Amino acid sequence: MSTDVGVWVSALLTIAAYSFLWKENRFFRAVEHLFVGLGAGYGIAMGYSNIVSKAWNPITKEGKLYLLIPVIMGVMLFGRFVKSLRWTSRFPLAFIVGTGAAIALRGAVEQQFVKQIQATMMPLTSVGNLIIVVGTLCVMSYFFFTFPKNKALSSVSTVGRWILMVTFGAAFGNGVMGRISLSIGVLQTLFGEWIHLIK
Amino acid sequence: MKALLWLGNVDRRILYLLMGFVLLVPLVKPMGLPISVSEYTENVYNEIEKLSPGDRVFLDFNYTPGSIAELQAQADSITKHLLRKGVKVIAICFSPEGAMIADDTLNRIYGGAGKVYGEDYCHLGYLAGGETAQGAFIRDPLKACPQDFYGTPSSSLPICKGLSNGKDVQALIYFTTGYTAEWIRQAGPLGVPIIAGVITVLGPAQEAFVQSGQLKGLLVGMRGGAEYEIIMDEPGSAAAAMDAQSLGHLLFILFIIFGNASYFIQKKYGKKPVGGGRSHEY
Amino acid sequence: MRRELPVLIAGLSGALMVAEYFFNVGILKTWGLEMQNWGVIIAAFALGLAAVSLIRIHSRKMIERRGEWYNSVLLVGGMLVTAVSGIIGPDTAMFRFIFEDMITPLGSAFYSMVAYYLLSAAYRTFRARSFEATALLLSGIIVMLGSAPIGEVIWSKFPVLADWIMQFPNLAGSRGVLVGAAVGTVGIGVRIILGIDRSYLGGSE
Repeated sequence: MSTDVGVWVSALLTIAAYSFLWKENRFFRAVEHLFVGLGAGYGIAMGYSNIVSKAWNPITKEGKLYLLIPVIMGVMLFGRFVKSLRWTSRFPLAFIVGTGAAIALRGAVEQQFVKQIQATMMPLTSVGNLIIVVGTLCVMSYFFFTFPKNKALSSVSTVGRWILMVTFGAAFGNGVMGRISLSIGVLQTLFGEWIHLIK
Repeated sequence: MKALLWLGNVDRRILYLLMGFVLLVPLVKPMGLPISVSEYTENVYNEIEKLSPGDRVFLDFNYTPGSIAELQAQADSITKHLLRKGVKVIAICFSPEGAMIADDTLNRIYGGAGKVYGEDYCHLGYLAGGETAQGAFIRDPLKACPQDFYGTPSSSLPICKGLSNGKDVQALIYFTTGYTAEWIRQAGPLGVPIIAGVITVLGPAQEAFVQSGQLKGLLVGMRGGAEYEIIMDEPGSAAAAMDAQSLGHLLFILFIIFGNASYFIQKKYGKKPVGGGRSHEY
Repeated sequence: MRRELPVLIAGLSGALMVAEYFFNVGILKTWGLEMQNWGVIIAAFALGLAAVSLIRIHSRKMIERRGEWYNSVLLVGGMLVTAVSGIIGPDTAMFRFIFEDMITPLGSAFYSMVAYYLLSAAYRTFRARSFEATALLLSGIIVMLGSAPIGEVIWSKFPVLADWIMQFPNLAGSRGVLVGAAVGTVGIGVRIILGIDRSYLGGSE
């Protein structure tokens, strides 16, 4: 068994968390609260370092006073906690939402739309290519919800639904795989680092 | 028939214990099932092989401790490959926890091999803001990150000399639990070669970017990490976990079959079938 | 003004970001990059929002000794210790201990528990009651067997089938979803920039 304090702490916390699988209990609730607190504290630490390096230092050491604008907007975010100042948090939110939406939009047009359609334009010389081209069109037709579909379009969108089911099945299989991997990781830590059962 | 019906209605805690047991046994006593290396892993390997000593790459550690089991093996193996090739690494993170993970990974692998911080590798820390931050970083990394993770001015680091935008690096490699297309939207227009390491659940969605050539390589989950350990000839924890992964999958499939068999038998004989609708006990 | 001005800010900032991408004008590019960096600064402040909210709720619980108030002590205490040690420096032994021996194992444990819930939920509810459900189930099983080494041992064609599913029907499905998502992203972006979508403003004041 390990003699490292850190390994013991991590093992006991893991067991307390896993105890929920048997039944909800006070140990689980305690570590749940602890985890939330630690995560929030970690976020504060990271946020602080960002503010110091990207705002405080440039303002105080390089004289970039215009950076006071985003600093003030950042402070305005906390206005949501005071009833009379709740409206002030809309300004920084609007800025973030506006810039974020635009940044996603401009990249999506070329990279997600044009390039993906380009990649779908392939010669229909093999079964695989046929499945990709026809399948993509069928799936896209499934997402027409704003007008009633005629018989032909309904049939096409039904094929699209079948293809989506295969896609979701692959996603489900992958999801299961991923979670099992995470469980294996926990067991490797508990029975490898703590109890030394795994060599 | 009674056995099948019983198997269709096992208490969940027995299922959990069985799962834990089935995963643990092959970890303690490995079965030695062969792990084949897929074309995807070979593509990633070949892309990194194209790099030359002195080239610079961005490494984005965008995962949380919750996904370390899936992605750490990929991150370790690829970082070791970059080390072998003499490539210089600039780490950046857009998830808060990634900063500490990057710190540990780089110090362990590059630092442990005697490489010099600031010359052979550096860690520019965490940048808040998601895709907005990614866009700012790829356009002007030193403006977006004026200091590194430890508070040193980035422009004073020799590795950052001449780094004006994403075109000044030879690749961008990211490990993520959450991106679908963010780096492709932000770095794609600059023509930066992009390699992705993703958790298993994101794998199917990334297929489209691999086929279109927008992603030069893709590693998926713990299996991807295991394959890269094999291709690097350094089997580690991911390769060791594949036996357990196999048995876990088998257990899953078996119990789905039992559940379905029990359901159809009950349906056939007119009893109220278990499952297939709302179930409040998970 | 409390609603109109934010809509104007969202519209102008969004329009500027789009314009600087599609038009190669020096001043636009400079301001576009600057605004992205402002976004980083504001997002850094946002990291403190969760902490303030938690402190408000849990300090009330602690003062009033309501329910399991000692858990609130754990929460707030853990938050303060982590924040202070992280602010002193990420290199400190305390911060490393908290991250490596507390946050990491707890994060791993909570995320990995989903595997067990998935097993139980799939066992109880995943039924091949229709053609679509059967297609979903079969594709999931083939992908699972194809990705694990044991699949190749059971039948050498499982990995081939799994790869085929991923590279053809799955590709068609995910590409269709991606293109649909791109259209949706453009739609929402345009609606926000034009001020049609104002959901980020929240309730009325």
